[in-house]
Amino acid sequence: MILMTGQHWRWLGLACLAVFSSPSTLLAHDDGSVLGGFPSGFWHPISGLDHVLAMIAVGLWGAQLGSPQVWLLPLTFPLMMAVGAAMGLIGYPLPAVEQGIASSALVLGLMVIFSARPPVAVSLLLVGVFALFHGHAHGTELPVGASSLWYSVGFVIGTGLLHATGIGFGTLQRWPWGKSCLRGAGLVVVAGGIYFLLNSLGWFA
Amino acid sequence: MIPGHFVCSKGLALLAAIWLCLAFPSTASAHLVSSGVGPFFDGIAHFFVSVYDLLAVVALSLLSGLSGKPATRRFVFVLPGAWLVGTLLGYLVPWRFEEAEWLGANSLLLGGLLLAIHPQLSPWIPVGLGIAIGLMHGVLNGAAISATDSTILTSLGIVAAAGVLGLLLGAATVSRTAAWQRIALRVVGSWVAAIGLLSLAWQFRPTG
Repeated sequence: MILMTGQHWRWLGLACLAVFSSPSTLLAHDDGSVLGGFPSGFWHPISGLDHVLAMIAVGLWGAQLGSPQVWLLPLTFPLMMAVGAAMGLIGYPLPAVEQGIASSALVLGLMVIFSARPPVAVSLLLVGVFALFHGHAHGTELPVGASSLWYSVGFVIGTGLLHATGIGFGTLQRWPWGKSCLRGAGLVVVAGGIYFLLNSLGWFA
Repeated sequence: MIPGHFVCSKGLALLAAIWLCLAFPSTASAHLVSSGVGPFFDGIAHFFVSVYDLLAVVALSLLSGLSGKPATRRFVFVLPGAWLVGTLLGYLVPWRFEEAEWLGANSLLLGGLLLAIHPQLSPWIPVGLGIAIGLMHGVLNGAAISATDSTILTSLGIVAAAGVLGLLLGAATVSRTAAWQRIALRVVGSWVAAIGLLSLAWQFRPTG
């Protein structure tokens, strides 16, 4: 049993304050050090709502599908996202990146709503193709001068934690009300996908 | 003692330690770590903040563990052995490497990909990789350390850290038989490969 006293809460608060305040001073200028690269990489996938929705949806869908996809989807996504980011980094063009990202939220959200169960290969292909778009967008937006290695570590961990969030939320499906919650979350993802798709097509310009 | 107090204190200590590691990284990333307890321990500390070395050992150890007991038994001996030979070579021969990051990224990509895909490998493949990557990282470490005022003891600290971590991870992995555990380890491989690929692509990033 974990018993938190007032003193512990104070220490925890101080520690959190220190963790979250220390890197922020270096976010503005990437200086090639750990703090110049890691926070930039970590926050990059988390900073865009379209990315967040899709990556959480991957986790939600994986949790609905169960083993082995619950692990295989988060295995495929960062790998293919790194391929996309590498393409973006070296300047290899990919068409309709914004539409691809928005479509990923839309399609993955629909998969969650309907608890779709395609064959394993199809689910991996779907997630892998969408991951390319997400990675490419990140690759073309990487900050100049950041530590490449620490940026990469932060980037991959940030992405993995978003999947883990989705998987964690997806464990609610063991209860009937939890399944409804997941469908509701899928609906939110779809709504976000539609918004971002229309936005990328210039509807709100 | 209330058990919860102990757990919570350990958690706080861990949090504080992580923050300290992240708060003072410049000495670790640019130069050798100064642990304050001698060159051997400087080497150990340096290994754990050298991401290329650390992740390469993690990926290869998990790969050898997934490949079974025969592969792991050989791997835990050849990795530190090759690393030691490489370190001595790098330390004694005045080589200069401009492509250290490129080589490090490649070893992460190769080790991570093999771990993530995990095809049916001969038990000799992880052993061969242990020799190749141990030699390569050893030479890079040795060459870098010979260029500083550190002693060979620092290099031995790095070798010892790589060997012990390889042994612990290999032994922990070889006993993992549940399917979900083995797939979780392959997820780690995909993360390592992704880091290696991103880091590699960064080297080819157009400038200007």
